[in-house]
Amino acid sequence: MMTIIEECTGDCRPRVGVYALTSCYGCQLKLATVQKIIDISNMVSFESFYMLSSASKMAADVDVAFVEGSVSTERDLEELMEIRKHSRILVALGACSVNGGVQSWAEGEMDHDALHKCVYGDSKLTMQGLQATPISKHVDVDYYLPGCPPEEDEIMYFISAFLIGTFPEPKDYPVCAECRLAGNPCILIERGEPCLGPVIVAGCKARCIGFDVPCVGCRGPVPHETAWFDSLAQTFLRKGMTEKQIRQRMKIFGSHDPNIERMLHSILGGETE
Amino acid sequence: MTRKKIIRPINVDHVARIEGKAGIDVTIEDGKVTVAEMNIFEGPRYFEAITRGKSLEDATAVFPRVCSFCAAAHKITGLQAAENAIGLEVSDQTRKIRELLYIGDYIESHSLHLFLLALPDFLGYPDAFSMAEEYPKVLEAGMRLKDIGADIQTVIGSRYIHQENALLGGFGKLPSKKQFASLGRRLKYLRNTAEEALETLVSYRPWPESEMSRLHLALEPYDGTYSVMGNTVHASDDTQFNAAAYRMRIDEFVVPHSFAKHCLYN
Repeated sequence: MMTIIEECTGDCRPRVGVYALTSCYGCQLKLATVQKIIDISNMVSFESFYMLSSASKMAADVDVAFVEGSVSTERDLEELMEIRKHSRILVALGACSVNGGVQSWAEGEMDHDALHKCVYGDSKLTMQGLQATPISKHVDVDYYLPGCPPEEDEIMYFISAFLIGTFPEPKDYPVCAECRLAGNPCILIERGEPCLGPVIVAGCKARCIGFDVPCVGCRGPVPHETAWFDSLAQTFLRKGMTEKQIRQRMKIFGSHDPNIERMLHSILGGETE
Repeated sequence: MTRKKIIRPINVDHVARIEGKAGIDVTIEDGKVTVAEMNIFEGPRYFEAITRGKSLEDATAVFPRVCSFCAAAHKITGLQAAENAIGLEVSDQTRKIRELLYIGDYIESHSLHLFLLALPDFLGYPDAFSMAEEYPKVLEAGMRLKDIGADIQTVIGSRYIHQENALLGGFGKLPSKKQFASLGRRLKYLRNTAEEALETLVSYRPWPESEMSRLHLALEPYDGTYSVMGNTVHASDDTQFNAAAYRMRIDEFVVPHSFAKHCLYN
């Protein structure tokens, strides 16, 4: 059952919270700089938005909470639990929240102790860091708004859907679909560029391929277990990429995907390291 | 008779209107500050660790994610470091267009910090939205400056947060002459707006002069203009050093109350 907030379409303004766990703040910045942000601020009531307002609290009672960032500290986890308790709808906002973000790149390669030692040496901190995880590992998530950062039209689509009392539908097709519509030549097939478009969820209108830059996968794998990492890995192999290059590139934004290791294993065999 | 010590703590759990998460703890004992700690509780993302053993192309795609407000700075610095490491010289054209991308970032980030994040404090509002009713003009000017900074990055870098169109050795695709000309016209047109906005900004309050002893570091621009790229770092104590020697002059160390390290200049 999709949670919606239809009773708020009249005079009452939906209460919205925008929160960050561990991230670069880019999703909030994108949200704060959409062209219609002033209109949005008149139509909803921002109950908590630390990046923009000192009248914020952790956690406010809200109809919709947008949560940016991965769970990377014990405090993140505590805050996420509080946010979930006080929110009717919880939206995972952006790559870190949806997929664990680039900070999950070394997932399966280095555990948290190794990461900590590499950066802080033997020094002890009073706060406890954690291996980065997407928020869905810890709480129920109602909707996912992917991207690093998310696209403006998708942010507007989500907010508009909530405002008119319906729900946003997820995209379930890859960047390639939009790339063909944009009329770009295929830089993967024609030039052997390491483009992740075939396994990455659409919504960016193939922004980077339009700049002749191969997709780095920032929107994360296509949902519903339809990201065919195995067949793309086979194509990459034929184009001359090494097993290590393939595995590393697919894991920049996709290391928490439940299928990635199994599918890569079927093509590449075990870890190369 | 001994007088009881008066201890006053000041704690800010979560500083608002900044990029990142931080708290402040101050303790005042008998009128003297005994503890002053900035606690960065924003979680660590271990960029130094996760990029080890990775390809330069992939690692340099990840670095802008350090910070969304200054993503281009992290992108370009990462690219320069990688190019230095493999001995790749880029063309003058690439260097100049990167510089422009960097300046776009500079304009955007500073406009956001000044007008959207800091100004509400000076005018007594919790946020820019409530400030906008009383002070629409200065906020609008700030946002127009932010827009031109963002648009420079979008035209050159593909977007203003996490630019992908800046690669080892150059760019995927260069903007057209027409796009550059259009940015140039807008910049000229905005010059008055920028000067007026700055005057308005400094007129709101007598800005306090800090008397604390402090040290500033700044990069000497490579071409003598007011820019953001160069190889020599100058300190306000009249010393200078080559940027490549930063590890000898700047000591990073861990403090237990913060995920961000502290630095000492020597």
